[in-house]
Amino acid sequence: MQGHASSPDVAQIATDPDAFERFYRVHVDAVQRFVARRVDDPYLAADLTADVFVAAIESARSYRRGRGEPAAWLFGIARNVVAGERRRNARELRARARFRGRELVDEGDLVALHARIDAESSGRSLYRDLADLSAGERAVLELVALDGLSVGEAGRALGIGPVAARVRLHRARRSLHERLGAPSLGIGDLPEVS
Amino acid sequence: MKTESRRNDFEERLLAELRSVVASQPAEGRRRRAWVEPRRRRLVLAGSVAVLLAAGAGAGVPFLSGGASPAYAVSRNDDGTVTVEISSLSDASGLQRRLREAGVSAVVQYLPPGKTCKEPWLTRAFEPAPASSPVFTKEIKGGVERTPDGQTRFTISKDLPPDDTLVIMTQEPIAAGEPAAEPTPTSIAVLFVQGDVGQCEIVDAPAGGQRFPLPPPPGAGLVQTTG
Repeated sequence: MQGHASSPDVAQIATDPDAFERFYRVHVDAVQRFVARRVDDPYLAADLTADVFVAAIESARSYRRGRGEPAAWLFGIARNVVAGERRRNARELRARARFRGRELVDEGDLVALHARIDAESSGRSLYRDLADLSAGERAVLELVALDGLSVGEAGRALGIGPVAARVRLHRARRSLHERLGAPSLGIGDLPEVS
Repeated sequence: MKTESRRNDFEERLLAELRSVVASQPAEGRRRRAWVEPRRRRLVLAGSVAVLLAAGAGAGVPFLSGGASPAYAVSRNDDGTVTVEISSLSDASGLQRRLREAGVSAVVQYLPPGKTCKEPWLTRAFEPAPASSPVFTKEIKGGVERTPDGQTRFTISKDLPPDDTLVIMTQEPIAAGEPAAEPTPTSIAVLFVQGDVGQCEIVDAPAGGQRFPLPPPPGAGLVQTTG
């Protein structure tokens, strides 16, 4: 995500369709890949992609620069939407938006959606491996190992400080090593967090 | 990192929908009440005419309780127009009969929640029509309104094209398949179609929620009503 490109616009995306379009075009690919690292059903992926952006529109007014670059902010929203932590919210949002992402998918799109999902299969396998971590540790590790955020960005996406993010990441890595032998999972090259 | 840069159609369609979400956002500082305002959106189709009237949140109460008051009223005005008032979603066949008695070719179809008419039901409705032709002001004078006491009211022009059929139907815009967090509002769709309307075969609505029964023709636009 090239978050800095659209940062001045974030507060406006809630009310200015053109500002929203700029924001959307910068981030839609990253959001779709973010979703594809977590779900393997193209229709569900389409729903979630739509829900993430609707949630972003709803939340844009509360965006504050200090809470991170727009990309990290959007990943935080995406994570909540995908994890179902805001399921009720998402349902209301969808009801207000009056459409679901899957309604916009036609056969031609399925090829692209499947391709994206296939491309992220290793990500999904890692995502499943994280299931047993504590919620806080998992969140940091997801954003760092799966989505490529820096530890600081992950912390801002989750609304926690950089130190707390490092601590959680360290714990997450340790427990994964203990239980699973992390290098075989492809997370041996995680950033060092000493 | 970039694996898919081609803009596919899904992304463009999603963008168009999201732009309309943004356009419907309330002005700064005024928080919208959930459920209500977006439902006032009317779908206006060029050429043939379709007006979606959102009945609004909580409509289930007045609409489903029949009560002592009549479910509808159809009155013929001195100028030849016909005014329809709907106060509850009951006795569809009675309303349909009254409309026909008043000289309006009409089909009234109320559906229980989660049901829809098997498609194609109205697909013959939208013949190609001049995209620039005036929208519903021609067939319905002043548009469809919802009165403060919860009635749906509209007045039908006396100059309907001979092959136009008025369709009044329920519309469930909420996605099905998930338990509703709040009572599901029911809307009334008022539309005119060209030609006959087939028999509605009632089937379960698709899991993705019942959509507007007709694909909007090219050039159709969403018109936002105020407040």
